[in-house]
Amino acid sequence: MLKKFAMMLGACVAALGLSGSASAEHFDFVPGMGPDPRAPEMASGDGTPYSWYYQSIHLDFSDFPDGRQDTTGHPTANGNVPYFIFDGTDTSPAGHCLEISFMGPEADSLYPSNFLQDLRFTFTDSHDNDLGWILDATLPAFDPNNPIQTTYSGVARLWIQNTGTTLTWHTKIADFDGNNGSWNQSAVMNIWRLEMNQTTCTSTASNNGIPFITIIGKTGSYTVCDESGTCTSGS
Amino acid sequence: MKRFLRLGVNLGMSAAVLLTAATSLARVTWNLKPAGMGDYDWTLKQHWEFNRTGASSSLGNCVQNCNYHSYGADEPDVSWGTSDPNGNNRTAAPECLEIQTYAGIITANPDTVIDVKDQNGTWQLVNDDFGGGGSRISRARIWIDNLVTTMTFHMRIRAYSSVHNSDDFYVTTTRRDFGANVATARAACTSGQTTIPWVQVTDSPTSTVTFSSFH
Repeated sequence: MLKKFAMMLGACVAALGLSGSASAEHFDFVPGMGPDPRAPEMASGDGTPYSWYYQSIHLDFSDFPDGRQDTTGHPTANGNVPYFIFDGTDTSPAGHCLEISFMGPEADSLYPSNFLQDLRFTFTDSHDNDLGWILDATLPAFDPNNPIQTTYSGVARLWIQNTGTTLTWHTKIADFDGNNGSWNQSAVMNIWRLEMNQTTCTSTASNNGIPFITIIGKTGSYTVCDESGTCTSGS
Repeated sequence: MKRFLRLGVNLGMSAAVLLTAATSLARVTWNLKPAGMGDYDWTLKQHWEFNRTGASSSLGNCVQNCNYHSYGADEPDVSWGTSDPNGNNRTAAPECLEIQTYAGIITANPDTVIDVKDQNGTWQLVNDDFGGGGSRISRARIWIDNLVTTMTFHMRIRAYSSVHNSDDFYVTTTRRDFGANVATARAACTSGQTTIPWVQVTDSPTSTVTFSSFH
């Protein structure tokens, strides 16, 4: 009901031409829009050559309805589940600490539902089937006047380390309350590479309540472990 | 914002094809150490369509009628931080990014253009039709220097003309590691090569945008 009200309200706003999208077209370096300032261990000294922050990857779930259910025992999906795959390869022997944060998009000119309920971040096999759970989050609407408090509602870390020629890894980002895409929801994903070794990456995550997984091995034979120490084989 | 299921696409396309396309498009891929690059280089690959309207440019004769895809607050954006609310320095190292468009799922030869705003706020062409031979894709390098005070950088990928407003394409953003020496890396990224059009964004003492002499 709340979503429907928000959509109706948003539709009225859009019809009045009051969309907030006009502020979108810039590549900006402004306070509050960088990496999550609430991560205390990142408060200084992160200006290394290999740290970087890729901000605002737009995930538009409305376009991708999918019927898959996950197997992790978390809340039941509302209809089919639209999702994005976030995957990649690593041919470097260096390990990599990635902090993945999700936030609601800035006001959307077409789709008024600018918060997202029940986002689910999982790791999967090569066929996009869920193997384990990383994070559940509900993302509030982005408030440009209060960016820090309305962003980074969902934060998790991945430690990725290739021990062979290549490691191929797979994760899934689903709108579990997506109702087959009919809510027209979207989210924004930010990727931050932290200049940390595995121990620091995971211990500081744990100390700050940030869920994490480690993905270590090589294509065809790797292990994914969650923060509780439970491990799953991947391929 | 139906970026992926294009309006204007042949509605007679089979359901099977649409299903396949939808599944394959919903993917963001991050490859670390792409072929021929270093341990700390990476490529992020996404599928895009032009999701905004109203771009103007003399190239392609766009009169507020070309569609575009921006890099910005709610679109892909690489940031090197600034001071946080507590005043801690969060500035990271300068970086070299390489942006390239590729054939889409439907459009075999998308006609894209990479534009960047100069410090006066005027859109300037960085690249159109990279590589010649009938290719209409685009490629450019962006050097982003250390943040000193405040820096705003505007970039867009747009349709060459309104005829191509419905083109779809893949876009990759690649972080190129040219070493820890800033001067050497900056030159390797920009003025030290004549193959890939480039832009250099610096913030000393105020934001300055320098363009390569070739496009």
